[in-house]
Amino acid sequence: MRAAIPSHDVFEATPNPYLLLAADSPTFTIIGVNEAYLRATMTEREAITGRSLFEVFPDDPATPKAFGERNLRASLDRAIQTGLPDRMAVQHYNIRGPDGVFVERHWRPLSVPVTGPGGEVLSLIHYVEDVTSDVVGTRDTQTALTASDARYRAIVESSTDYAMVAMDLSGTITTWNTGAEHVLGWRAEEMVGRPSETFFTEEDRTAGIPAQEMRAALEQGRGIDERWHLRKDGSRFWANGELMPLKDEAGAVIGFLKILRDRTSQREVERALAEQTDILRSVTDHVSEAVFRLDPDGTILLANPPAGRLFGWPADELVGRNLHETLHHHREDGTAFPAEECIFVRALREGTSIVAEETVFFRQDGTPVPVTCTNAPLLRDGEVVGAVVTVTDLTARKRAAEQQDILNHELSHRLKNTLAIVQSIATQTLRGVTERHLVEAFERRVLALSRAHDVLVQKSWAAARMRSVMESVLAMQADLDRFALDGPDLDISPQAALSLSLLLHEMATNALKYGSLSAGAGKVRISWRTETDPSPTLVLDWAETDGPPVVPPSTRGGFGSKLIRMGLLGTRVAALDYAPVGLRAEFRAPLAEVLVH
Amino acid sequence: MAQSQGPRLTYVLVVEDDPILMMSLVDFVEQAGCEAVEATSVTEALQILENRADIRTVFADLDMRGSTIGMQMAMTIRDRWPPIELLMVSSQPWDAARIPERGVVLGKPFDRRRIEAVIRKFAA
Repeated sequence: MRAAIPSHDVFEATPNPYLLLAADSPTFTIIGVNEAYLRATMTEREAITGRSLFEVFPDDPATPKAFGERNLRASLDRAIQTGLPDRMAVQHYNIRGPDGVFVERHWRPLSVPVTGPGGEVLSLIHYVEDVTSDVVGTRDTQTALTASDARYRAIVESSTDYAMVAMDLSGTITTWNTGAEHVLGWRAEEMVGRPSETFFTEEDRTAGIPAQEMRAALEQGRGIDERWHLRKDGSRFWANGELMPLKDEAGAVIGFLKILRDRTSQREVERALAEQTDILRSVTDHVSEAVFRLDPDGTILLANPPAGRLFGWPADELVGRNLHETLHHHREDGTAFPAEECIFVRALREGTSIVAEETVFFRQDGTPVPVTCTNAPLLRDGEVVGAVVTVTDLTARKRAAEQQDILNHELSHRLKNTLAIVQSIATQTLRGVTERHLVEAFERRVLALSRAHDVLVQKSWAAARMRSVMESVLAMQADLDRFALDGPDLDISPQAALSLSLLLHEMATNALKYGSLSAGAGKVRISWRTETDPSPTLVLDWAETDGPPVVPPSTRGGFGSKLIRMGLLGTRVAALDYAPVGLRAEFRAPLAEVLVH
Repeated sequence: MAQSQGPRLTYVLVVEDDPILMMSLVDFVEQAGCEAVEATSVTEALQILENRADIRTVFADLDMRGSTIGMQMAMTIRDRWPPIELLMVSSQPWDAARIPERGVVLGKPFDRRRIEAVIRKFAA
């Protein structure tokens, strides 16, 4: 190995820069240096001989990542340990010029161990080739290439959406594409040569974000983040940024490419969406209804907290289960409920809506819950992608309806008792009246009114079945088989029910006294129909047959006759025909007032 | 007018705790040609029945204070005095199965014709 030591002249004369280093790791004292090295490093022999290599050539504190010293130290140590030459990749190792300012330098170093007789390493010949001009040249080409590539991509993908900015390791901008001009507002000639910090916000600059991004890009290969950036006019925009290291052919990092996209509007849309999602969530979390999001097979994808509470399940345990099998597995009568017979399962499959259908769901402990269930299909491009099912607990509503019913019956009971007292008071008050039939007429009118109430209370005073109202009041007067009722059984309003009762009561009273019902075989036919022309109308016909010969009344009569002339609902549309075969009467009333709204 | 049936009077025990309604019930009984015996409570009614053997019909208001006291009395009477006829008035519907045999329940307000017809029928 002795032959490996070049003679002093050769050492001195070679155009390649050499250092002779003592193998005194970690100091690595410079024990020799040639002219070429002194020229390349812009230093003096006296200034460096006898001093530590790393003291003389410390890392440039300005380089983003000072790994030059670390790499070199490792290479030198390897050469000592192995006794073999150690070649390093091109190193970015800036050196300080005579004025103390660091200058960019790239080196391709080779360390050759010089061994003693026992094979021990005595010193190291450190050979460095300055490849700075190559590296910088390559980088410029590459940066230019990248820039043109970026420009190309910007044009192809969305020329105005992407800002592509190339920069060197110090963050100095080398390329500024048209997208960058558009997104950021500065023109290329304004920005090339300026630090990339320029388009960072004041607070990000203070926080050292630009350097952090570069570090992240170096460590992870690329750095992606979203942050505010500045435009030339000082305005801010929300940008999605990607920073990638640019490498030369040998793999050395020579700079960075930053791609920025203005995401301000997307950010607004996303924030609005997120806000809406939050609102929706807080709504579904706080409504009293159970809300389920189902997939097309009926599997629960989402269940809100009330769903868990209502059915006695931890809400998260409902997720993943089949809604029908878990909560709707039986019918109200306790028989099993196969999924294929369930209208909700069918609606889910077919993507149809069901609104507030009453059914029974079951809690985890098996107890039934009366509910209304609504299916809202979720369709995407005409395809069923699931449904939102809302289930409302009817327990309280049913209980309230029951209490309402009890209350109605209690009221009805009191009302009827009070009407009986009214009858009594009237009868006792009119004790001296000799025309007892008038007293009885009063009693019976109260009775007729009460009959209408009876029918109304069955539907909580909201409506009454027309036929029931008629039968109830007519049964007061005579056997029902003497009346023939013919017409559609309509749900009529409370007002119509009361009016119809009093009217039929007077008609039947007269029929019993003077008309067909006064004869054993006499009958009354009551028929009704709806007409639409000229306006929706209920037409009620009263026809007496098989009675004694008809004699029209000589006087206009009293209250009863007035009630009849008032007609249905006070319309006064009452046509009476005292035909010899039997009285005929026709009453008309607007259908809208007759029917329940 | 109550004498129209002849020298033997038919007695109807009227049980009613409301004085105004009592006037009407007594009126119905008399219009039907019977003689009314008044009792203003169930206790009084049972005392009268224990002391008299000439009551043919009991005519009671089921709405007397104490929701089901009237119907309980009717059942007691049916048990202890099976021949006595029972006519009752009520403002609420009654399940037919709960009405004692041969008993008649009519509604309120009053249908004078029916009430008097039933009293006459029971007196006959």
